[in-house]
Amino acid sequence: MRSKSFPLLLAISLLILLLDKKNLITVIKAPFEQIVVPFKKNVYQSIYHLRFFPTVFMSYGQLLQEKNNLADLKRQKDELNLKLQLQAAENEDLRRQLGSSLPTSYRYIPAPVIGLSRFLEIAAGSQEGVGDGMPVVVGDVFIGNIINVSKNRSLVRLITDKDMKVTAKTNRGTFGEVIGRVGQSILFDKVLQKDPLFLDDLVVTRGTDGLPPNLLIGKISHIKSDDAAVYKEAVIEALVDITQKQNILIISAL
Amino acid sequence: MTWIIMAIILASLLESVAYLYPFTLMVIVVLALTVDQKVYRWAFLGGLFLDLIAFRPLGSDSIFFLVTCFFLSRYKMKIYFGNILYVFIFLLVIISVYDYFFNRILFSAGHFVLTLVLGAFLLSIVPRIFPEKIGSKQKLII
Repeated sequence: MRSKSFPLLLAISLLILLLDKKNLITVIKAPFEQIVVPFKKNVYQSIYHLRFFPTVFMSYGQLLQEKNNLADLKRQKDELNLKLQLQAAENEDLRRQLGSSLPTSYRYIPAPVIGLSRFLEIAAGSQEGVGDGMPVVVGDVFIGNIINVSKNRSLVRLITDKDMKVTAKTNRGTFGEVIGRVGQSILFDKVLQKDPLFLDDLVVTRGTDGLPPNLLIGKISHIKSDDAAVYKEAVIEALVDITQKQNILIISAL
Repeated sequence: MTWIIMAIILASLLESVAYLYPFTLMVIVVLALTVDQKVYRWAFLGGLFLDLIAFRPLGSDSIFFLVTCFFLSRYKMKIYFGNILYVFIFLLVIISVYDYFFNRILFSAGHFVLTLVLGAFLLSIVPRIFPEKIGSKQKLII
């Protein structure tokens, strides 16, 4: 191998890295994102559906039967939607009459998933209002927070990431710290020996480190207790399988 | 050249969309072992492409790939003429280092097995595509 090109290419790489860290080449990267994001979205969707192919193949008969029941369910859903709209309007009217402020509900930004490796990649960026540190949820379940934002996409550090640390508590009021472990597991650490901890306890965010309080994280599946240690710890089972999700929500305002 | 470009694109896509494994690094290392010329350019371009696709700091993968190819060029004679075991040991070490730096994975049995299987597959396929590039002294035999 000719080694003359190595120092030059290494120097160029270092320069590019330095410029990128200082956000000086965002203008050059932006046009590539216009192409990359839709392309990755299509690829991810295809791979996502492929994962279900063996299951679909094995349960074809059952699926056919369920398809026939869908029409009834759709009709019921439409009726419920109408009732919901009527009740929401009634609530709004009552609030106005009582002089209260607007409903205190979180504001969400929906985003499709376009990639999953160490981080979750989503097709929503600064132009949709996404910012660093915003929590990401699936329903009421906290799955991570935004760590890197560009114009069209963002990266989410998952709750299972090794660098993720979140202050949390159980439904019994036991405080601790949730630490991610590579793979699908999460650790509930720094729990005082005297505090109660039981299997199937729900773990939620505490709300002291910039995250909203009472977002579900998981439930206790295994407790490790060593009487000689200062703290005890437990393994948390995640409530959401992120590989099964195509869309997530970002909490943009509380 | 088309094969190399397609391999890098496919590996980068797989790595950033589907499965957390350094496929692109594997492709670059196999290229460095079997195809002698221009491997530094492929490492540089492949790294930049992966950074763009995977939304990583631009240049970070290029640096890693270039340094890997540099070390390979230094120790290629020992790896090339030695037992295939040396090749696999090198692959396992470099994949583990990359996994730790970029993915914070210290050891993964799945990655261990995938490295051996994928390494054997690529090292048996690539010399058939680029037979004229193999050095005249000894072919790499699986």
